[in-house]
Amino acid sequence: MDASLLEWEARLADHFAELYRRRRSSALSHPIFALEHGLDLSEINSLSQAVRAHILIKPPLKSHRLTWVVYSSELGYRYSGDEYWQTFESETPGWTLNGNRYWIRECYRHFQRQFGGAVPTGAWAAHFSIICWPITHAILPKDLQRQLARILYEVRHSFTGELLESPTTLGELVSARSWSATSRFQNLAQETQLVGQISAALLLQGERGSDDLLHPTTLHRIAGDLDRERRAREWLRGARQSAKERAQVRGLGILGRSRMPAINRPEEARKEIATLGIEPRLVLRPTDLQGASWEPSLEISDLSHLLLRFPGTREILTGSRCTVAGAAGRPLARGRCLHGAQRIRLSRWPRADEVLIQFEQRDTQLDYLLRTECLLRPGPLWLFRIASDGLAYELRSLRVRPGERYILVNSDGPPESTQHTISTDLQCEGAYGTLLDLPSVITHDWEETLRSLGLGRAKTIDVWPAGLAPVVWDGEGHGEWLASEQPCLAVCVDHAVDAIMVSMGEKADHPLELSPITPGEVLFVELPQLPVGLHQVHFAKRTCADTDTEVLGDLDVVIRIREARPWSPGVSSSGPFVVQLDPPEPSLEQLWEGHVQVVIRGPAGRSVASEISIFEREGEPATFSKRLPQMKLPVSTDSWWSHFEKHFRKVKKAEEAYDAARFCEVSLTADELGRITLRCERDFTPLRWALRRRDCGYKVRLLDDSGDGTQPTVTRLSFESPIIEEKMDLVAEYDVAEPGGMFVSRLGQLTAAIIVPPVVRGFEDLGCTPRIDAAPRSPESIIRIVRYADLWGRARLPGGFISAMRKRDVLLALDSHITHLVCGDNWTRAEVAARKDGGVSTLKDAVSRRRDEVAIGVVLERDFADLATRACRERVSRIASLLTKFHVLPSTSPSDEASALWLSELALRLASNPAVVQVWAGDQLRVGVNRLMESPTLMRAARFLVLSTDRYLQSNVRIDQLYAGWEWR
Amino acid sequence: MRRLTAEEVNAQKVRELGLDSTALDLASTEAICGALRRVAGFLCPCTAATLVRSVVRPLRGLVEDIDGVRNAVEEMLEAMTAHGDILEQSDVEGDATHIAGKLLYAAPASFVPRESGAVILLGVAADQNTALPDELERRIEHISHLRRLSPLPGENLPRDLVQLGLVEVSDGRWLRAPRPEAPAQLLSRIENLLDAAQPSHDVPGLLLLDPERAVRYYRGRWVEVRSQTGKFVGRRSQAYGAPLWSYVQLRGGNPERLVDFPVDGNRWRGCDEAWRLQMAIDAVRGEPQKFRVHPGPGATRIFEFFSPVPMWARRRWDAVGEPVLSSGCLFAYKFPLEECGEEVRFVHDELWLEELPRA
Repeated sequence: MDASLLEWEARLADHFAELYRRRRSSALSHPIFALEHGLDLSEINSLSQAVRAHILIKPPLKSHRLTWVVYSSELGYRYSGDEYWQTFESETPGWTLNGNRYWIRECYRHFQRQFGGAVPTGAWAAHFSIICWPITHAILPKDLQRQLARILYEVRHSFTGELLESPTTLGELVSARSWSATSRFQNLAQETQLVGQISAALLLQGERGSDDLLHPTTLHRIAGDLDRERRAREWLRGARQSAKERAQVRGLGILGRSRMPAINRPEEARKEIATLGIEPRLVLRPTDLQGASWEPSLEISDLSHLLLRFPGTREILTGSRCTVAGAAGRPLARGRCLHGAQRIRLSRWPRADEVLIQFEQRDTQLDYLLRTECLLRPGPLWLFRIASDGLAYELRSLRVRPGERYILVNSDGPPESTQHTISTDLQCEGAYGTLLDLPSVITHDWEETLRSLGLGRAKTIDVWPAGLAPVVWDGEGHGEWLASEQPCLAVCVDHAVDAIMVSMGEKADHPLELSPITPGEVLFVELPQLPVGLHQVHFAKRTCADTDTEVLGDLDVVIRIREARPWSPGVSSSGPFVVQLDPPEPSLEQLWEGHVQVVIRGPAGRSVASEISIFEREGEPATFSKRLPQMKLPVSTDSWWSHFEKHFRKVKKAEEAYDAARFCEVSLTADELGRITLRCERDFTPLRWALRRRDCGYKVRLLDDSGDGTQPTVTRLSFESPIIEEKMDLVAEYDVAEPGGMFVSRLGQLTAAIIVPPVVRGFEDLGCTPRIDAAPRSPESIIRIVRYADLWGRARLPGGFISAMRKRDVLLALDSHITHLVCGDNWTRAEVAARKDGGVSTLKDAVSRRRDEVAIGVVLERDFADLATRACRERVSRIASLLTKFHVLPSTSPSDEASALWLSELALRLASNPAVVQVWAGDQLRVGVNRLMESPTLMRAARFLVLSTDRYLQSNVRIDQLYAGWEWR
Repeated sequence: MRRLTAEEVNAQKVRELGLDSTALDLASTEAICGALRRVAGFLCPCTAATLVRSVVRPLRGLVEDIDGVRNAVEEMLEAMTAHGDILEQSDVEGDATHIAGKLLYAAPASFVPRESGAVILLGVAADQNTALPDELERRIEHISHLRRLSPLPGENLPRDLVQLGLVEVSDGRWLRAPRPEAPAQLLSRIENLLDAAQPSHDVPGLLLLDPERAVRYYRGRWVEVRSQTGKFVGRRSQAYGAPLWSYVQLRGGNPERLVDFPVDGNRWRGCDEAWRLQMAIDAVRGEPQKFRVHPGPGATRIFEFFSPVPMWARRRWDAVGEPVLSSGCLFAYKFPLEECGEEVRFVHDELWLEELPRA
């Protein structure tokens, strides 16, 4: 059998050596992948059998390295995100005994040195330093192929000759577009060289030069697998068609350039941003039939264009909430701006210097981009034309046309009333509206009125899209078309001119001359097929054949071409059934533990059906599936959670299935209104715990995919002593003893924790009494408890409800202990008394007994009912202003105000849930704790507000909350 | 860049809609429906006026009778909304304190399987003409607003479309109609609701369907409120969104009581209930609305209607017949001869219409 392996080895060595020689001789010298082994399926089976026969009885040999590289990459090709080594071990009997994963990595390193093999790159490869090799060398695992085909189809109109010749640039483009793909695909997309190489090979399959990208057999195999799925086949076919057409096109399109614009080239960046068309637009909506009252809103473009052009903004655009200047409601959910245009109602007119869209997480580059394009047009006047659909759309100039109706908005104050104007009510603070109903013939009086209002008249030449409406047309020369279309414009003049000259580009060479011109006649101009980006069409008129042309600057048409988005199942922003998730792609743990906001909108009263299925493996039937009772639309996050918890999470079989689950699918259906299926995958970190049930209790296993040479440590913390760690030996699997507890593993910067529930035999086992030994009243003691609270808070929970209850008990105990350390004995006694009498008066008196501070408790007792209905952020402001007023917090400078807010939030977070403090406070934690210990009144006031709010809301908490009304988002 | 004639623009844009430019132009009902689906993907949720405007404005200079085309676009939009390509629903972003207008939404790409193995396609795929791969898209049969796809031998279309991600809507659900009722019974039920309604105040923007006016000219039946006394089907414009439909009791032109439609939940649109009620009113007063049947090509009959009908009736006819153009009526359907008897019974029994004698 070893002879057989040696034969395979020799054959593979010859094959890869020849491939390496050919690759090196090509101009671009692309790396080689193990999957390019050139074997057919029966040969792969034979090789695998030989490998398995060997490892069953003895360790792998150096002389078999290539066969192991091929064997492990074949497993990588079938890998679909589950446990790589688990599959490896189950398919390779004897591996656990004779094999060694570090040895596999050595095989790949040898392959890389000897044959120019690919080297895994990107953050994912750094974290998963061993399995990144077989997965990278599998090129494109089967379950990711469909996603690549879709992205190539989406960006097909951006292909150019240069792009297809530069796999890395193509890979960057695919990577930038992968923001809505699964996390596994995003990991793959970090390897831009690899992704670009496979993309170019798939697009150019059969064309000259494609053999230099990937071995033809391998390419044929991947393309064949893609072909099996109809939609993927269609996408790839469409992308190939575009690639073929555009392979010869050079120098067109913004993506043909070699470098992304950088912040140190502001003018170029500004131009780039303008091409994206992300500038928000104001729209007025009538609120009565007479047009006397209007409601302004801001229409925000789909910001995914920004993401494609500036990939560095991805983390913020996908992971940060967005605030709209002047909007009354809550910030927009994370990722919402990437799914179509949004119309946001304004309650206040934004200031001239106010950036209209701001993300909670700040970034210098993004701030610059938004400052460039996301401001109101310079005021104080804004002109809106009332369209035939009743809405008034903002115009880019202050020019009017006879026979039209307009609303003029002035932010300086109400305009002077004239006989031609009607004052209107703008339901928005800081702006005033005037209605203008222009006659078809402008009289001298009207001319005067327009002049006094600061308005001019538009020239009497009209240009509009001909035949079909583009995606966007503002009626005044700015529009957006799809790259798959050929824009066609209509032109009409109402006065005598000799000719109209139409040209494109900055030089305006070789204009198209339209003549003769008959006033009122409509002429049509077809523009060439335009690449993605911004284009300008200039119109000029010539009144006599021998005179110069007059450029009609105001009537230049600005055309933005964008990619058409491919259709995919689910709900769209234009439909009546909307599902909003925050975070946009929640993990299985976030769904299970209620750390995802789910809002389902639709026609009020209509029903939505849901079905949830839990899966252990890709391609296999669900291990548990349940159809939940119908819900009535709309569904809020709270009602979703209670529905999910009651009808699914508390179901015994669901709990059991969850523990071994890798992903789950939530299908939401509202009959003909639409259907959406959400997929939530288990968090996949290099160091993690796996848990399985046994007859009575649990077994936990530590999975270490970090590839770090050192061994992780393991400790156990009991529920009764939640800050005392008991060191454990590192073993393959832990048979968890009856009382359960939290298992923690640490390796370098990595930490993984899991809470294993106790065996429950009776009611007495449901709860526990955590004990925290007395510690000196010092910042160190408090910080230590905060760290443990963070650990308990982030620990993974199994399916059973009991572990969540135990976690809550522990966090409540840690919270009380922190309170005791900061607020003192008297306060602790007051809390005990308040628990007995059920009131808050005792607490009020204990907030502070100092004469100059005694009113703080009184004010809080007066206001807590009102504050209980407000968001956490408003409570922070209230506490800060109250404590500043009573000089508990200083107020002499603007920085004091920010500091007071921060310190108040720290106090409220500590008092309501210490598990949400460490990450939030970061390296400021020690300074903050010191300040709180110096001003215990602040912490007592915070604690009073937490407890009184909880009491006001009747302690109606979810299992993941400690106190009602205190959810920090 | 080059200059085009109106005919060339017509042909190019019809091709962009995935239609046959040798047989259709932009004013054809098929192209209008394609253009409406296209703008719905870009603009929804929005009002009907926004969609109509976006389809009509680019046609300036390409069609001779722009007002006639506007009417055709409005009629096609109504047909598509009844059919299920576009959905009329309350503003889902609105809150209780806000205007609860009715807006148009793009239905998701879906299909209704028929017993024959064929499917009726519904819905809108934003940025695309359809949600189907090219090979299937080319096989779509466009008949006015109706899009049908017939299977090839051995092909299981419903299974394939589900695999492609389209939503399957059972024909039972799609064709669901209200329970059968006699016209007097329906009228009495709604009048009871009206009697129980709270007294009404001024109703701005109210228009009435005058039962006294000729039932064969629907647009001519709408009148403004003057000094009428009685009970009327009415509709009132909204500042933004579709008009609200209602049954209103007037005395001397002053509204006394009013019931808003729909009263039976929101499965059907307000206009569906209002049109059905008007049919009942006309039938009870002995002046039923009319329809006409005349021979069509081959073994078919053309049914012509003069007033709009509820969506469930149009869906039924979309399933068993084909919409056709016919002058002198509001809309018309062509049915195979073998279906005619049953459809005449349906029109008599469920819509209470009376057949005009054949010329």
